[in-house]
Amino acid sequence: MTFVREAASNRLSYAPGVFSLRLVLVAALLAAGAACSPLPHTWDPVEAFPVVSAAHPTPADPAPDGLRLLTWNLKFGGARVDFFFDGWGDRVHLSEAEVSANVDALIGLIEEVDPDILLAQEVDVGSRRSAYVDMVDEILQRTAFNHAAFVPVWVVDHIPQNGLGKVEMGQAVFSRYPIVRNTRVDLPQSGDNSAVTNYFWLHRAVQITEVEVSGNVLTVVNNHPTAYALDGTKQIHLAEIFDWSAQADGPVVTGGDFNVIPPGSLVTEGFADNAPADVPGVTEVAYTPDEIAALEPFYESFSPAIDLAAYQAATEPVEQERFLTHSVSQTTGFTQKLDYLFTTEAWREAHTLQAVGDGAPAVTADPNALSDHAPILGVLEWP
Amino acid sequence: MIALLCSVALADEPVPMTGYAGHPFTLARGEAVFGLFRPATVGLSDRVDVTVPGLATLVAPRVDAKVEVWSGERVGVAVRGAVGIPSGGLALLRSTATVLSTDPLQRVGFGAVVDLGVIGGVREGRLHSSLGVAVRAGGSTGSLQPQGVWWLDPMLAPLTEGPVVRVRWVADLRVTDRVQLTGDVAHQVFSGGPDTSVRGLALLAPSERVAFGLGWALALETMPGGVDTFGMPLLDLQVRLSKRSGS
Repeated sequence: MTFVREAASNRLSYAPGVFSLRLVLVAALLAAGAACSPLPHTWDPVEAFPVVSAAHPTPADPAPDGLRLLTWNLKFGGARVDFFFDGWGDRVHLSEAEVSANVDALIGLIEEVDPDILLAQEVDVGSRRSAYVDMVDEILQRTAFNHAAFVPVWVVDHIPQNGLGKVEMGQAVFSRYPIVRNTRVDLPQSGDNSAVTNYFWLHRAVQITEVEVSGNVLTVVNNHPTAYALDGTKQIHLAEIFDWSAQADGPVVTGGDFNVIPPGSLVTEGFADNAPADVPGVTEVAYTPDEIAALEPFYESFSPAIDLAAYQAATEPVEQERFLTHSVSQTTGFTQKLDYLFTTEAWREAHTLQAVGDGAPAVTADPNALSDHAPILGVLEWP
Repeated sequence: MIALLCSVALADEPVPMTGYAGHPFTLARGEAVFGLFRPATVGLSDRVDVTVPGLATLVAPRVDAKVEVWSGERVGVAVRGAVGIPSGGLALLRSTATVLSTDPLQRVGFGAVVDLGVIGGVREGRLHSSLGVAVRAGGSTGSLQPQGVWWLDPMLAPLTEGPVVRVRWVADLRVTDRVQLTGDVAHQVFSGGPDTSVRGLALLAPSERVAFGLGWALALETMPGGVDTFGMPLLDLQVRLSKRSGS
């Protein structure tokens, strides 16, 4: 069986592969060893995880006038390398030098933006594909953040596809201020996938953290729901994220890579970054009205960092381009808006950081070269 | 993860009804032990054992020799060494696009793994207890980058993940002439797999030539979220070609 990641998504589909004598031999060897135990790791429905602190803390403003929050899908330090699962290339594993350079660049942009809190998705801490680099430790120790909360979503000792190997990935919240809670809420897997695929597949999660700032507690909910499940799993994930975000006490920020485009999107299919049609297993990305509608409760109950009215006022796709945050291909530019920040409070300002010169102060690094997602910065009125 | 335990357990499990494997004491000349999964061990002389892996030979051929350098009534010391040539196996595995990376920038060259160790043991009545330390390291002429395949065969791992140091304590308790309890604790550093493994196995010998084993293994690995613990059952069937079983 061959797993192939669909273009512009995180979902694996599978196509028939070569069933050779070699494969039988390897399968027999694998069975002899692996039959005793599952290779993937799973977690409790609701489980607490530890918070780690920087070795050399950086003093944080004890009474900040506003909080800078950044959400960014870091693409496990893969930047714009063309991986086989994106449909655009054949790379499987990065060298340590490649990952180090990419992480250096990610940290460079983070330092430029200077956030108080970072909601990060696709953070590798021990994956073969990213040379086993612990991105949580790298970012925590080399930035002004003092605390980091990590929850795993994908830990498999060995993924067979293309010899991908060990994967250890999750979501992380970094903060200058103490994180007093780090809870992982398990989300259901897609029923679209076969049992074998799901066996090796992600266990998506809602990450609920509480950050103590100047005597108050801000709940920060970090999210990365399923990408392209067509059986309604995405709507279930978004509904759970909304419920957990809405029921939190006090001020809340919920955000992340929601893997769905906003209501009023003028383009819902046929995106320019779709992989070539002749790539086996790659299917075209499209968003259904039901999936898009699942975002509406967030806009109705919270304040979005990036205003929806301005997005919906567009009459031509080109007018929505400045809001977009995701593209599998660097050359096509961003084609979809998937990343969000919402709050129960009020945003003072917000920016989608697509290119050099975006943001305030303007960034000098090119976000489009560092990940397949653009970061979003929101400055929260605080207290 | 647990697969490592399987392969380690089945590769190194003690000879049934004796305390030989993991101990410095060797088989007698001409004696041999075979298992369903465990490697085949033959006593070349009263002081030298030679072991070849079982099914794993197909992808990672290797030879393991143990020499009893000193043996008293209660105490013994042995040195052991192994040489493996897994590069052919690595190429085979890679061609399946299943185990090793298909990344076009990585090339599998000729590779070899060396494993060297020393073991000291004590025999006290029905109890045999030993402590051993070993170092595994591998090298390759290719550009294949580190990838933990320890779960398939520990001898494959060092070639791609760097030197591994392993300390292992083994204890065998002969309860009756037909029943033996055996267990070990191993800790390894610089490995991509578990840091620590603990195993317990009960061996039952219905005859002098056959033994059945049933037990449990536990692995612990330190991960960013804490220590993960994994358990698995162990099952084996072993046959010996002499009449020393139960002795």
